[in-house]
Amino acid sequence: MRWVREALAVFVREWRAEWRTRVALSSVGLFAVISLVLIALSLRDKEGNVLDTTARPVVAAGLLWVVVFFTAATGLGRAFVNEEERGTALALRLMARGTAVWTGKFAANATLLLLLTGLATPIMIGVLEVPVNSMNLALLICVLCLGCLGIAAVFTMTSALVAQASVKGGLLAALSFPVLIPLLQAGVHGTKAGLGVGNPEALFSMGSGDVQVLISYLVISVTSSLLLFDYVWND
Amino acid sequence: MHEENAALLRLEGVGKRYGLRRVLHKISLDVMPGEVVVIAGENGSGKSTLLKIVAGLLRPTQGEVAITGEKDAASRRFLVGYAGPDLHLYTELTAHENLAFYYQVRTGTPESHERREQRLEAVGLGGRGDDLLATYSSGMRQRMRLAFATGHNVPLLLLDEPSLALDVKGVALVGDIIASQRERGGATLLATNDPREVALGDRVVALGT
Repeated sequence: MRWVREALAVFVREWRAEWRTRVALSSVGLFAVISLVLIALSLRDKEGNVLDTTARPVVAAGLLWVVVFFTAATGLGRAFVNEEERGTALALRLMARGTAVWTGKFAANATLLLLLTGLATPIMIGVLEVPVNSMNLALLICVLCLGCLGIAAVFTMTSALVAQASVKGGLLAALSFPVLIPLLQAGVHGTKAGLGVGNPEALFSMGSGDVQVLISYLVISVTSSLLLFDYVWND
Repeated sequence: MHEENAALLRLEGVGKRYGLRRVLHKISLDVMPGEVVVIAGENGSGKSTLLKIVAGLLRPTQGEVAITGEKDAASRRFLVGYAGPDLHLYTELTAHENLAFYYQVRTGTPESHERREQRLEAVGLGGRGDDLLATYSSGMRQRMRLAFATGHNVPLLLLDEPSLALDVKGVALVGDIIASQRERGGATLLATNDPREVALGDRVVALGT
């Protein structure tokens, strides 16, 4: 329980600092809004019609994950890079155990990404006028939540690695993308099923395989991060 | 197991290289409980590096460090209180919030507002605890570093140029902190070239000579 309380202290500090500075919220929010506006503009013809009905959920699923991935790359990379650049990592290393730091920062990153995805998804569905009658909302929420948690876990770990590097620009996305390919594949496929692509009866079971992949991915990424983080943090 | 009358801090042949450049070479040192040892030396002689190695923040290229018998670097961090010029606290938080955060993250329990206020008063920051650190002067930030280092009754205090940016009262405060640590039976390692601080030590270890 002590470990949970230590992690909770890190989580609360992250959000308190974020609430005061709004650095990540503004950069991530701006990226998500600009992406959605550009998508809305590019996918409409002169008459204002959006693609044909069958293509909309397919495009929406792909673009939603593009927004989620790059939103994460924009905002979540700050977790450890900021600590190193501002010199606050030294005090944190002296006071906190690595696992508590990772867990607190992962929780803060995950909530930020879940919040942004929760806002971006209905906007994306609205912008692309995806038919809602063929959606399985439970499947869609399940896939998006698990995907966000997995992405947050990977980006939190790679952020700690990148923070030690002298050249950080672009490294976070480049390092994270290959690791995230299985998650993104299951995420896009599961989202399509949730939006009714190849799933006219809106069955949860059509995406249950993807949900299983996402759960497995999350368990593996969280476990391996907790096991390996002390090596990254302490050296 | 740490024995009675044994050295609180033991350095055995500690060396550090940054690439080809040798910063420290075979430093051996025993520091007894209650002792204050000054580490002196020219700029770049490795004073700060030595303190960070002792704190478990840097890995030595050779040799071993033990605090109360504990050799593991990550575990040693919880046995020291460290204040140095490269230690930065969160400027977007108040002094109270900083102390509360570090206390909770270290012990897993919250620290009472009264105790935090006492810690701030002890370093001359009483009544300023609700101000953001961003509004603090360099001297006040140095006092916060001292509050950070002294909040956990650790066996070993590591102070790197503790009087930096401090006024006359602040310099006296450093003396009080070291005296208090000595009274509790703890040891202090003081990296400095300031004659006022050197005078606080029981002995001086000169690096780079």
